[in-house]
Amino acid sequence: MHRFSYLHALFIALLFLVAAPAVAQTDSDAGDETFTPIDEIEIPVGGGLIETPIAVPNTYNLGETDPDGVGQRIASIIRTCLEISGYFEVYGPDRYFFDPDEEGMTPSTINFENWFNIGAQALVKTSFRVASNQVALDFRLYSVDTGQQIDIGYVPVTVPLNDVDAEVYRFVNLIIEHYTGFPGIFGTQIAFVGRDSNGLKQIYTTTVDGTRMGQVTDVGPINLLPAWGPGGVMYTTYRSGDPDLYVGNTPLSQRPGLDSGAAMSPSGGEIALTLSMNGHADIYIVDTNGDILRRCTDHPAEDLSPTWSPDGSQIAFVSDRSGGPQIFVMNADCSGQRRLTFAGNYNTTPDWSPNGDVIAFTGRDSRNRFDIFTVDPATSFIRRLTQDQGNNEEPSFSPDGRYLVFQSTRGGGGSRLWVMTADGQSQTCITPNSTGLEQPAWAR
Amino acid sequence: MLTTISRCGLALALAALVVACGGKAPTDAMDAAQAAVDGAAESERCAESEFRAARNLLEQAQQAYADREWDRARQLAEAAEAQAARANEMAAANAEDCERVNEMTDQLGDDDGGGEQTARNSAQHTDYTLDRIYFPFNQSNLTDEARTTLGRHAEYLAANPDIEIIVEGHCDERGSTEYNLALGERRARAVADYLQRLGVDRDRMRPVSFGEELPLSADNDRNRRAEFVVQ
Repeated sequence: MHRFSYLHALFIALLFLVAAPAVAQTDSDAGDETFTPIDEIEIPVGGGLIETPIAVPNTYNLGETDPDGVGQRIASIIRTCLEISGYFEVYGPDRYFFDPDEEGMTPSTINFENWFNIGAQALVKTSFRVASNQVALDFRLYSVDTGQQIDIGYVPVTVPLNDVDAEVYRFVNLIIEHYTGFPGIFGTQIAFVGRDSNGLKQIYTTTVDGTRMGQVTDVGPINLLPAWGPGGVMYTTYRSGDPDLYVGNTPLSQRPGLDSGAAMSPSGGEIALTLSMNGHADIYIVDTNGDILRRCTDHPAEDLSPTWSPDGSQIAFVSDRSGGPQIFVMNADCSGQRRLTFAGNYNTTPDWSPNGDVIAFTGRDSRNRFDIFTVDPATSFIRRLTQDQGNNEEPSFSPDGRYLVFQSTRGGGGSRLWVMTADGQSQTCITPNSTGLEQPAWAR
Repeated sequence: MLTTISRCGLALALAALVVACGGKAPTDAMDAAQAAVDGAAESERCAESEFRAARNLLEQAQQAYADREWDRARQLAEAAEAQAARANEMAAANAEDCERVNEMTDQLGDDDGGGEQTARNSAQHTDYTLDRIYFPFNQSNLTDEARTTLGRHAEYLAANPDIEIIVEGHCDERGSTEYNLALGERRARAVADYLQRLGVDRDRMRPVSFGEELPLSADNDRNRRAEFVVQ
């Protein structure tokens, strides 16, 4: 009896020895007493967007020549934009069993029954004629059911070659307005970080449909965090060895330490940014010359990444004063700092919707995956927009707050730019042919 | 109520557990290593890096011993003992040059009259590498290993007061660009603060963060680091 108890006790003691290391090491979030896993927030199941089937055949060339590939470009842009908008199912030439070239632009020349038979409800007909650097454009929207042209407020125009894209965007935005009640956002610009031919990170711009890109910087070694500012794109550059804030080629803030995360106020007179010259990252407000107007945080923790509310009265930002990085909000005069996000332990990159109703941000879940969420600044209610689709980060709202652009690694090969409706229902890649694109910022 | 067979099985399991944990603790080897390193302390003056290597091996042996990794502790202890012997040999071989240099620097220290501790240096180590140090995930704390390395760097910097360095803070590729800039800076500052506490003048060090922008490898553990650039 005695020997049995001794062995038994030893065995149990040894079990504890083996089991002890299994007690998990606590996370880095020591000070966060209200931790709720963000995994518990899932994408709500609901009805999808109603997509109108719309046929977009090739553009008719009413002239002799097309040296600049205008015709191809017009149809291609229209298809891409309608696709990205999320409210259409676009039928291109691969869907037709007949040849639209045997038709014309006017109702009497169109066989609506054919279009009806392939399931289209709407039909876009476009034509162009090039004459000495001017292009005559005729864009029309037809209802397949009635065989009538729909008046969306677009009339044929003749424009210089360089203005053709703008006309196409105008036409597309009117189509979208007809079907959804609000105009499309095509023709606006998105700034982002990509890599040049030497592999160095540079700042670029793109139209939303991804068909026209520009380059903002061409100086190494590293350029990051673009944002639209006074007269151009602001960004952080390492060209002098220390991260400095520039706008275009002009330095805006070259203080020691970080000069980053710049966000221009809606009124345009102030810029909120991250400076760390006083020993830790803090939010400062500077004027458009880069002179400090006020210092908003003086906390030993890191405070960074400011974003303005659309009425300019508040600023949301990231702070790790509670342990891990969370979204906080304060008044524009720096008072009333309070925490907004209480789920998850790594919430960053806030962007305040131009509608004011939500703040989009990147949240990391417990599997170390990154996804886009929104938080209501009044109630702290969090909604999830992406899930199980690679890593999704750095959201930026469109000027009307109805869309978000973000970077996503879904599909493999690196990160690309994606656009989704603000409720997350429709998500489309706008740069399918490039990877390594990050940190998009939509011009507003 | 356990039967006899069950009790024997239990005893066997216990024995197996004990054996699996690595046999006997190498106390002899540990004692010998400690004695050897203590005995070689004099050699630090003239065979600095050899002595420090011996001391480093002893520390690793002690860590392995504390983790109950007996075989590894034994190997490290034996290596420490051998290294201590080598340090003694090297110090003897360098003795003459070493003394000459020490005389010169001691004199310089007196001329300064600065009240700073005179550098306990030996030969000028022009081929000394300021090794990287690494950080745990999402942290800017200095590990024991990091402190050891930084201790050596502080000695080197004290012995070479003209040298100025950039302290770079880096992160692994997970996480947001700007937050990683802040984290990288926290790491760089933590290193500079620690070196300052060890006597290195803050003006000689410039902390810079590169966030996640300059990864070293696909292994994220190697990316969470501080690096040193001599200016």
